[in-house]
Amino acid sequence: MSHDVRVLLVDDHSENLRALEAGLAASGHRVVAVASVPEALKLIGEQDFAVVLLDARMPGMDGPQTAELARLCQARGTPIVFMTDECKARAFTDGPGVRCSVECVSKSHAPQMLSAKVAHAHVSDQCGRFFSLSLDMMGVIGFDGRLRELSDSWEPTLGFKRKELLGMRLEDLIHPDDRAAALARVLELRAAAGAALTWENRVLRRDGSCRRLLWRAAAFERDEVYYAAVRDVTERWRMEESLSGRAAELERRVNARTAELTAANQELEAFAYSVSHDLRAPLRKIDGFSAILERRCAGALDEESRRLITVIRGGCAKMGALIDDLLAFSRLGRKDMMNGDVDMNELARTVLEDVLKQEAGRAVEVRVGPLPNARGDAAMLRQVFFNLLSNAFKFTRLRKDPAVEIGAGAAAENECVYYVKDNGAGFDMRHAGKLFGVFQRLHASEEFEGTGIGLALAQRIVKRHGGRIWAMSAPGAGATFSFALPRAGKA
Amino acid sequence: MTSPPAVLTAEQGAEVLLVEDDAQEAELALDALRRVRGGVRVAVARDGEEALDFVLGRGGPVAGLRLILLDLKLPKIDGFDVLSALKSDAAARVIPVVILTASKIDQDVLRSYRLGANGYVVKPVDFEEFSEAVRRLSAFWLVLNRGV
Repeated sequence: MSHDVRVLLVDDHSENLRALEAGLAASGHRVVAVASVPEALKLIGEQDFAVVLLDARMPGMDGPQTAELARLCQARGTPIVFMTDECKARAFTDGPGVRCSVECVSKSHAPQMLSAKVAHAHVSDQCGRFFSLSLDMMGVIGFDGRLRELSDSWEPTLGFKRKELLGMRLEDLIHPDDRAAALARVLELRAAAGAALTWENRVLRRDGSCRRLLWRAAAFERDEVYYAAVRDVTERWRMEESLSGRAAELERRVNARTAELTAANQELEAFAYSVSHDLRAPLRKIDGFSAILERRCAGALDEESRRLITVIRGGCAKMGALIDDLLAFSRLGRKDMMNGDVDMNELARTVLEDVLKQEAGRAVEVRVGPLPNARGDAAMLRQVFFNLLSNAFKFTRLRKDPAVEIGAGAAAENECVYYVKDNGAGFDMRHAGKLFGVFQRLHASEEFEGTGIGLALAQRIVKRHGGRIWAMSAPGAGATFSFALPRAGKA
Repeated sequence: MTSPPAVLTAEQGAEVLLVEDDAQEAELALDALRRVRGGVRVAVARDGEEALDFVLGRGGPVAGLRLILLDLKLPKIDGFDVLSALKSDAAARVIPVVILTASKIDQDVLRSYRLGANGYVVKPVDFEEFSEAVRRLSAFWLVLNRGV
């Protein structure tokens, strides 16, 4: 480590001067040596020095010139280090009104020791400015665990005066519950050999209340001190605690609500299912016995009677279809969803085949555009296409030039849009809200058959996939049904 | 005009046992069975207990019994338990059992087959469909068992 520090050395004994100069220069310091206080005064007025080393026993040391030197140093924030055989610094600090940084070094110490002191004085000086500016707490703690130097910012945090804190044992400030862990960390610092470690612990304020501090500290073996930058993280910590408390509470509530909803939903599904089931039994009897009656009285029935029985059985068939659809709808809610990549082109192709079979003999112009893959349950998505496509075929039945188109919408970042478009009967957009309701129909059943469950089923499937479905139309102008699914591959 | 086949007792040499608690449902099933080519001798059990008693109650399965049509929802002993008991009996297990039920629930279908059912028919609302299903199934098993 190079100490590029300008040192002003003031000593009237030339051999001392030379010895110290040599020692300090050997340590990498740039030394300017003078033999008297007036010379020093002159120099310090002209140049900047990081530190002034002053022989404490020079003649005139207690005179006005020394006081002037001290004043200048104070003004510039330059520390003065008094060199003496015994520590007499106090006399000077009390005497000539020296309040700037004063150190006291025994001359008998080796120049290396002095060098360390100089370096430290310099560092202390420069850092001292940061020290006092810092919002965080800065501290120097001796290996003995006592607080050596602290920035002012400790005062509001701990409620102690800085002076009261200096000399206190760190241990005594730490919350009893955190003490063992914190001291273990402090010991680790020495093993870390200068590397910085970070930890948090609670400390006790003067009033006994508690703050949480974030420490980042390193041991400095040569000076036998720890340097610590400390931040009061109490508020952040409280916020985190309360947030995690609230998050837990929120999660608990969400879980409870979800459980309630799931239970209610299951109950509803079970209800719909059993209703659908139980409705089928009497219906089967009505149809069955009407059939038997018709057969038994085959010869005796006139045409009108036969028509009446046909109406009864037609009603049964219709209701059976409604029940089957309701059953399918309620089963959908109970069914587990498979999740995979679905080739929508293949899906649309096979669905189209099925629908064409169902609508055999019709000449419908069909176009299928390239479709992006989807992520979801293939069987369910097949049902969506089937329902939309059956509708398209159904509602174009009265057209002379029926046309149906399956395609994909403009690519979006996180979803794929598919549509089924026809040039059929269409509907008034004012009723669009009713479209996807269960058993909602916008056309007379004499005109277009159906139970009104197809779109409800499609919507339910699309919603279970996290998607949406909508329609655009005008009466006589055909309809476009679109649905959007989260993009494939984004599981 | 043909009437539904007379309901027989075990001693009268029934070929088919219909297990159905609802009298009218039973009547519809019998009407369907009546149309099995060559006629069929049917007995009816009104609940699970009666069914097990009919099949196993005389120290062994009824001779000549070739098909059991079993409803799942039954008083006393339900269809699953009847099925399970029949398929656990070394001698009775060879008699084919076809489940005839209103339930479309996957679990019911699966459970029935796991217990050894030989067929599963969901009763359709449409009588012709129902009739056709019963007729075909019965004919299939009867032909298989009569060894034409």
